[in-house]
Amino acid sequence: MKRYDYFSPKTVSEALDILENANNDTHIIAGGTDIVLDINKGRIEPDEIVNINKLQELKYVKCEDGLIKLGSTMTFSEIESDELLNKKAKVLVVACREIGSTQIRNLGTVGGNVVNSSSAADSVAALIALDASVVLKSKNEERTMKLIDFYDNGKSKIRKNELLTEIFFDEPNQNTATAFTKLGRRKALAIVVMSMGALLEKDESNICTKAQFVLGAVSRHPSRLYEIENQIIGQEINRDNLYELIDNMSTTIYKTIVEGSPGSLRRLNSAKYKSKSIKGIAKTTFESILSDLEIK
Amino acid sequence: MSKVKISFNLNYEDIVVEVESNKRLLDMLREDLNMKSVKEGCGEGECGACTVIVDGITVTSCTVLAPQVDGCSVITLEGLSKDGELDKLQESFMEAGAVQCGFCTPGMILSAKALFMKNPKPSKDEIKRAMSGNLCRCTGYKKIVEAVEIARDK
Repeated sequence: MKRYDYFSPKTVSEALDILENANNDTHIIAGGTDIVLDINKGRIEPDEIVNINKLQELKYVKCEDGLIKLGSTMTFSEIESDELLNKKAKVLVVACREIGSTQIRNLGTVGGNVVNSSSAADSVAALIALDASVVLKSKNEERTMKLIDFYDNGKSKIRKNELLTEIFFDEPNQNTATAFTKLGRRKALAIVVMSMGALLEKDESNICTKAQFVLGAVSRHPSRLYEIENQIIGQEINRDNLYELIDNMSTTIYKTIVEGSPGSLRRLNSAKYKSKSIKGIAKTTFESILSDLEIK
Repeated sequence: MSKVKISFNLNYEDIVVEVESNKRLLDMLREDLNMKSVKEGCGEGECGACTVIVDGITVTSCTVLAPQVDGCSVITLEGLSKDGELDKLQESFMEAGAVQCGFCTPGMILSAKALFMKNPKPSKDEIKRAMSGNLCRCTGYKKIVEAVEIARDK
């Protein structure tokens, strides 16, 4: 394995100074659960590794200006046990809770999950359901963009001299419920087969004022279901109205997968399977939301 | 700068080591520090055989770069049998017959140990969940869970 230079900055400012001179083979490590494998398997050959795991400045969850803000090196375990997130962002807590295993959750960070850009990134699906944004800092600039706009067909838009420092989303009000359901082959260490994240907000008459639905592991990146969201906005949130959305979800999934790889038999089989299994996944997700909104 | 000097606490002893920056924690523990209880199973963080406890939580040492434990405390199975006396987990694994080939055992015991450090009286479900990142190809897990329950109740 090629030798590389190792940096372990103590502050974000120090890290950004180092990254200002980054080249294509400069890589950032936080939890390491993706990148150490990439290095060992020869998928990347770093010249420099910048360890950001010691940056206490990036470890936080706070509520500020109507936003919930997460530092990018929060691990999945830390998110899972955070009181504020358990109260306000169940979709994210459940998604993080079902990633990998105890050891992987202890190491893996939400920032790493976002930047690694895997189609199986569970926290990304949940964050898109929350309509989250990311903050990218470099020595001389700070950019903010919606997470849904952060990807471009398999790659993230982070620049080599940038550090993902924070992820934030609107603080859900008390008439909002969120949920996440993951289908995997087993209860732990399971790469997602398909997942669904949802956020529903209602007014006092149970009319839907906001709907955000996301599917994970259907298209290359987790995707929003805007058309289906529009079907429920303005309608009463009840079991019948939610279940009525499921057929459309099924058709959308089938079309998305088949049109994504026309002529592929493997993808056709995937489309058939996933368009059926969404029925169970969606029902579980909707039941969780109905329960949290105290709608019978 | 491809060798890095790090100081950390290994099995309750402060040490200073110079290690190649591209070594995994697993390799440094086995090769440089003679902690042979740490096993490489899959090398991908998916089997838990290489589990060690860093700052009180379990991690798969095959996915951690050695220099990253600078300033941390690290516990391997060797740290559990101080002064030749076995930890109650080591005893209970023997009592319950929870060891066949033994390859998963160090990781299993450390996962249970880390659980006890946070929650000394876990339920069976909590035990199973805490140890869900440790795979065993021999035992079928039943006796392993029993062993942890025996240790819990001691």
